[in-house]
Amino acid sequence: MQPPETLYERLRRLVVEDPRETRRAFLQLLDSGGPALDQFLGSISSPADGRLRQVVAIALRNHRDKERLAPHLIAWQEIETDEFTHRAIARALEGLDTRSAGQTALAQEVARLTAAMGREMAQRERLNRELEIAQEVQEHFFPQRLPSVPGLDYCGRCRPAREVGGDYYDFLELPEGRLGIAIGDVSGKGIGAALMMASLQASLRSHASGGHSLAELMRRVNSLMYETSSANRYATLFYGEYHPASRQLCYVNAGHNPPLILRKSAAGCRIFRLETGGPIIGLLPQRYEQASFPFIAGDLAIFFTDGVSESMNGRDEEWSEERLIEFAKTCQGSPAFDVMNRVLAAAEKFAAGAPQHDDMTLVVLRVLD
Amino acid sequence: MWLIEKIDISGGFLPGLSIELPRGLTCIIGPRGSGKSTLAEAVRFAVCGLSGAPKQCVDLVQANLAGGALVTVTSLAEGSNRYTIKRALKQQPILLTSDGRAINTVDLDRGTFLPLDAYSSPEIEAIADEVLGQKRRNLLDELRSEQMRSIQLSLAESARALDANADHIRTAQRTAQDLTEQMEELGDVRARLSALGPPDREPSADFVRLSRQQQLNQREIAKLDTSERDLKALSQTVDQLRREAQVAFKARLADEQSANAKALRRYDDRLAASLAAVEEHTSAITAEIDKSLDTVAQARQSIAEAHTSHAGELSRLTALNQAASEQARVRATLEQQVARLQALEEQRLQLNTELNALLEKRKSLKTSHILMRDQISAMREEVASELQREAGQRVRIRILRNADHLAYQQMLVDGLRGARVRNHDEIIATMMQLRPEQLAQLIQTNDCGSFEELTGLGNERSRKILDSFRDSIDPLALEVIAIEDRIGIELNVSSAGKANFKDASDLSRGQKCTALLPILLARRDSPLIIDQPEDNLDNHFIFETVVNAVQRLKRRRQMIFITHNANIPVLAEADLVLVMNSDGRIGAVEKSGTVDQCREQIIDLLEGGREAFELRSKRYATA
Repeated sequence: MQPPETLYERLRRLVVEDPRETRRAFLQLLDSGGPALDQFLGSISSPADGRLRQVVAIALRNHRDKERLAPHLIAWQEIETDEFTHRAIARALEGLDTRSAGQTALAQEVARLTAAMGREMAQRERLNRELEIAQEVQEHFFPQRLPSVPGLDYCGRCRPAREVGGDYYDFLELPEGRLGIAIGDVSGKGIGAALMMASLQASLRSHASGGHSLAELMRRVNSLMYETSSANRYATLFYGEYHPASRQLCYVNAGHNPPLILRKSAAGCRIFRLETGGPIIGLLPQRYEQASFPFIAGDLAIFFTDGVSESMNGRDEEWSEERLIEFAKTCQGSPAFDVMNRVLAAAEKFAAGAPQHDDMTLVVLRVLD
Repeated sequence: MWLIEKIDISGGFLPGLSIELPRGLTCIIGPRGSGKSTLAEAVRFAVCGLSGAPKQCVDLVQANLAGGALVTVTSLAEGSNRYTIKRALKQQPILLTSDGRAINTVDLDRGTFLPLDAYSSPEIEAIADEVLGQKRRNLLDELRSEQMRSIQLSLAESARALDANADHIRTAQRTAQDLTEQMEELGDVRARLSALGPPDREPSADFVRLSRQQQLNQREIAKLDTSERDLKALSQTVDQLRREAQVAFKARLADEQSANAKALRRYDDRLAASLAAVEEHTSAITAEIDKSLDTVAQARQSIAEAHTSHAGELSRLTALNQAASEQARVRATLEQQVARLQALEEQRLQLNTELNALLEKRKSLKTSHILMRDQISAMREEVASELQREAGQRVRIRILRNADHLAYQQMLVDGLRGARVRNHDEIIATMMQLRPEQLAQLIQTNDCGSFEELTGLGNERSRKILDSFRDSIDPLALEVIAIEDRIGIELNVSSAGKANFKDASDLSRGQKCTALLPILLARRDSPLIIDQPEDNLDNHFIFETVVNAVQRLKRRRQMIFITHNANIPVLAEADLVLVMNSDGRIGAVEKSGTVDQCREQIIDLLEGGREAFELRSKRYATA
């Protein structure tokens, strides 16, 4: 794969020098698809790149091409300042049904992401520092604020490894005061993983408010990921919706490490695992099952990625889920934020300075009285 | 930032006028014809000259400062330097430092030393009305005048280089065409030459050998003839001899009547017997001769065959030789033509190399030319977003890149005339997705396939259109045709709910100024003179746009407003109000002071004066 900055840089000049060749190069990129295409489309969102956007819009050969790029086209149309490009985009969108809510939501997400990536790219145009970009892009995906939910104390954090991994978590503000909680791990590292994460987040967000059952939602997210990602990319994903009134967590677990719930009882501490769901997403078209877990006051829920449970020490020993549970028991009763920090610190202490080889992501949720 | 501190006018319509201006906002009010505009224009005249001002302003200055009236403007520039400008009609301006030294190195009229923004109502309306064109662009470009000038210089330079390059390319292309025609005229001389076959040397050698043999043959025949003739002559001689011998040996000695007859008869018999011996010898000789003649005849017969074959060969070779010399002549001509063709080809090859170098050069020239234009657009976008920040939500200023494309569109319309296709409007609309350099490339490379894919106009129409363009449009001119940005200046005319932005050109007169003023106010920090002799501000949006902006920005720049709208001095808190009046002959400042000091005049002279004061006191009360 050609380094993306080089391709973008090259096409930026080529588009003036030799528009025909630029179109050819873009069509090639379009046909080979994959992360290089997404990356390119993401990097041409600044006003100065109107020429490239025009070449993209005018190069689309058929309905299929146009539908494929519709989210980008819709997003660009909103901000386009170049008249030629504007006309070309309008024409490309002619006859496409762009009104479906899903499409628009997806377009908005893509616009948000491409804008974020575009900013990053613009700043680093001259530096081919993929990892750094991926890292910052990844950070853009993590929730910037926590919707407040009555009776719930929660927080989340991702501590990225030196190499960027594909950990992902998100909190979604849903109608009727519900809270969507997502945590997942995308296979692979670097820009490719970050991009799959981006589209995972976008599709989850655009489907989450669609009023489907969670099983159906997961089926849709899976089939979208299956259609759009390359064969060797997949992800684990846990998605749940917490209803504050009933204290029920309705959830689907697509191959992710089962989140743990610690409940204090007279007989000590009971552990529940949230396992219902189905296989990992992005590999095959699948059906999923959903389940519901009734929380009671005092419950402590820990959602984590394998970077936490499999944190290694210098002797290649894993911290393990057992150690995680044992340690978490000692934290019961503390605010979620403290629990999160203490668990991460404990995992780190166990690793004792051995280089962290995977992202560590932790979401902690405490049900209050 | 600089300030106008003091204005003095001697003579003209405002003789003896002398006012000191504060920082912040000065409002000049007064009835029609009291000299307000004359004052504003006198300041503009002193600071910038008349070259940039519109006609009615020039007329006003020429009428009201006639007779040698001198305008003196004292200014305070950055670093607390004071400069005094003195200017009278038809005279060079004088620029003095605070210690009275004259500065001759500054051209005030260029507007860069002490830049002044002065706008009369018609000027503001003209900017609003000009959807396409330079006026709106100037509003932005002036704010980056240094960079803009250097880019413009580079652009002009690169335009010249592009022109020169285009000339060279055209010459080279013409020459190439010429060469091609010459080469076509020569046709396939090489093929014709090779069709001639190889020139053969052997036949001519054979020919020489055979000709020589032919001579030898003839000599042989002659020799045989001679030999035969000699032999025949000899044979005749022998016959003659025999006949003479018969006569000689048959001589009769005996005479019957003679007595000796008997004796002599014996001798006669002996002679007759000798004749027989002679006869025998001559017959032998004749027989030998006949044998020799046979031998000669045999010899003749034996070489006759060889001679015939030689003769046949020779006649063939003779024919061949004749053909060969004809061929040699043709060959010589063809060889000359091939040599010429080769020279032409070499010339064209060299020309092609040159042409390619020129086109390659053009590519980079064109690219940097277009990128420089993009740079200008980017700069305008930057300025626009700066202005937008200051101008508030009600007004929107944005750059529509490459929207000023009339020249390009016209070129397409003209180019389409020759194509025998229908629905020109639809075709033009489709083609306006293509940038000039894209279209130029398609024309240059005659790439009908790409043209069809890009426009979706179908094969036949694409062919016709492209052919017509190739005939009528010079791609070298097309690819660098100037397409300018359009500056959108819009006002949100909706008072609640969903925004409804309308371009300044579509607005009412009052709204036009309302849309433009926030932008004019926000532009830079040099003094600003706004001359609105009539109340043409739309009160609907005046607080949100003009008043707030004046109040906020008067700390940054000095403003002089000639206005009929009471809201401006009253609600934007004018620092000085000048009330002017005239007796019809000359005008003068009748009163000057704060808003409160001039309350009576404001209420009398300006529309909505009382309401403005009421609103002001309400504001104070709540504050």
